[in-house]
Amino acid sequence: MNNTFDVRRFVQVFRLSWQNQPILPYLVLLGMIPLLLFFFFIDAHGAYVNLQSETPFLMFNVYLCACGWLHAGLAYSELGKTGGAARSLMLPASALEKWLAKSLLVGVVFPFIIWLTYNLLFEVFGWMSLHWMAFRYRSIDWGSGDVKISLFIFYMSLPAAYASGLAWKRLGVLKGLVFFVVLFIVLFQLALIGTGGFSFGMEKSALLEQVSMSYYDPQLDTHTQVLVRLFWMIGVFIPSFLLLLSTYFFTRERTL
Amino acid sequence: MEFQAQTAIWLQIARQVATRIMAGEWPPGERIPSVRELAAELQVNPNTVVRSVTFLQDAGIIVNQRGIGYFVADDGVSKARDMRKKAFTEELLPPFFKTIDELGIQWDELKTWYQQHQNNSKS
Amino acid sequence: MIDVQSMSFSYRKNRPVLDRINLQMEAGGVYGVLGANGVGKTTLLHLLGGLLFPTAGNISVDGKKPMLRQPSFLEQVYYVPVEFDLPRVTVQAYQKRYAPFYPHFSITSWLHALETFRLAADASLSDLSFGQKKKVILSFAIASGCQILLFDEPTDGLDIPSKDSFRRLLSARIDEQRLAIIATHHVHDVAMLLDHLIVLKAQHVLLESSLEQLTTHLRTVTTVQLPDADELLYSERIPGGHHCLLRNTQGQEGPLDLELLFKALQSHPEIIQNSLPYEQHI
Repeated sequence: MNNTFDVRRFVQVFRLSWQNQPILPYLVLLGMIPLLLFFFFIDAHGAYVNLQSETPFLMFNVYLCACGWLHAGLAYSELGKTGGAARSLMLPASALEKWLAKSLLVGVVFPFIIWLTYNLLFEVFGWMSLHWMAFRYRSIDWGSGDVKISLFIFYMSLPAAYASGLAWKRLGVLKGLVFFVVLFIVLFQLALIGTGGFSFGMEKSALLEQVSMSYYDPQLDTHTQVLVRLFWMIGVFIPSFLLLLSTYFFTRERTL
Repeated sequence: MEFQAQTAIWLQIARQVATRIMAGEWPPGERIPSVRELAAELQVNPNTVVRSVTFLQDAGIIVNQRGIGYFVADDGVSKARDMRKKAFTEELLPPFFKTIDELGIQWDELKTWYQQHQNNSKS
Repeated sequence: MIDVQSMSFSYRKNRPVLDRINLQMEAGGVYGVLGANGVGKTTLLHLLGGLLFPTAGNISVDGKKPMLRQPSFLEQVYYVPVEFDLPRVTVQAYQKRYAPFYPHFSITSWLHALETFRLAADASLSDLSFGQKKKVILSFAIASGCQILLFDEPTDGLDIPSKDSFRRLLSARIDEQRLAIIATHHVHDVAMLLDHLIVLKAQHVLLESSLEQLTTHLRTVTTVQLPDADELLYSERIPGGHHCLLRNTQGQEGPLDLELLFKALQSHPEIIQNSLPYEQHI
């Protein structure tokens, strides 16, 4: 018997993880967004303000980050109670299978379902508004650079939420949020040392300005581009990846 | 079921089975319930029942037919009675006699009570 | 089947819950783990199930290390904890979700257990009382087909008929390949099921013995007058006389009230040294 990975067993674990986590509340919440937009953009005269393409997109981003975080942070909530933890840890599957199933659910399946539903909802609302009110939402442009940035933000922060749910037995998401926000502020302020002071004012360092704004800037010279990429690598990609990896070892070594 | 805590459980179970054989619950030649069935019925460890059954087999009350189970021996009823009798004389009579002596009860008194008891049972 | 070698466990440094204990358990047995509250019964079960890792020493369960939590180990071990929080699904849905992980799961045993416990398959777990939830988990354990069953206070929360049902179901399920370990302080509830006894006291194994051994050396009687002093090990007053733990000198196995033995061991652990052959005390 393969004690590390077995496809049949993995499928079983994935199915169980899927069944054991609620998705309906998230979808209901998601459905509120187009509705909200619908009513929010009616002006006083009953006419419709033309919707900017960015608004639904922005709403989606906010939703994805908030609910994606929540979903990831709750992925291991059963470990908080002895009974649930015993059942989860003693489920006959390898630590890798269990972790992979959860990670796949949190990082791929959940965002995909949200994306799919959101598109579908906009199609439906778009059709309805066009036929009944001679008004149409502009479809969301999923090919823009903004999408890359929002996905980037989502995936870089996801391991933090995922790990928070494991690190704290109760209210992991909340504690994680506080922890990482504080950490971010501290690091941000540290990065500003010697470059104009401890503030969120306009006197950012040249480096920070460059790395935050110009990751995709094609006009940068090679030297600066390498520096920028290096900064992101060390500052964001690697810590985030390590955090994700640590969750695997954390579940493997987890005891009651 | 509750067991009278005067002998080991396995022996109590053996005696209970013997009593049931005497009562004709399983006539000679018939299969008695399996160890597992008896264990479940009496809510005891099957290993305990194994000991009871082995004891009954050694006493010649039941016979083992390999692979099929345990059957009441042809003379199982009389052997069961012998077993119960032995237990009675060895375990119940001594304290009984002791009490008789303690209370100074006479044989005639006992006889009267016994006849009374028999009459009560008949009516 | 289970081999525990000088195993220690502590939640905090230098405050061991279990201190260098040794235990051997064989398949085909039902082991009762007794001990006062907080003596490490549950901890022992958690260690055997791989839910806690020993701080020193070794545990081998069927040749495997529990702490690795390998699937080949986990599919042969089922643990019934004292507390459980179950998903909000029906009894049947619960079985459908979890049974595929146990290759020897028997749907016949499952249905039979539900029937014996009078549980409805379409009942929602979130609507059930604590005792009923317990019966669902016990049914699952009995039907799981696992070689090793770990029970922590299995009769807790069960009403009297359900305790009967539990004993009946478990005794029908015990065979040469299986090993059941029952940690409890309700000795009386499971006494008839046990064939081995493990008594824990103050981080150690005070007693590890088969019941056969115990009953050849010890017996309990209820008497009006206290028996001879050299036979008597421990006694307690009951209405109408004394409930006594005696040295068994009759040459045949006697009855043994495990609850009385347990009480005796709590106040007079030296009884063991005085009345049993050396191998029985650790």
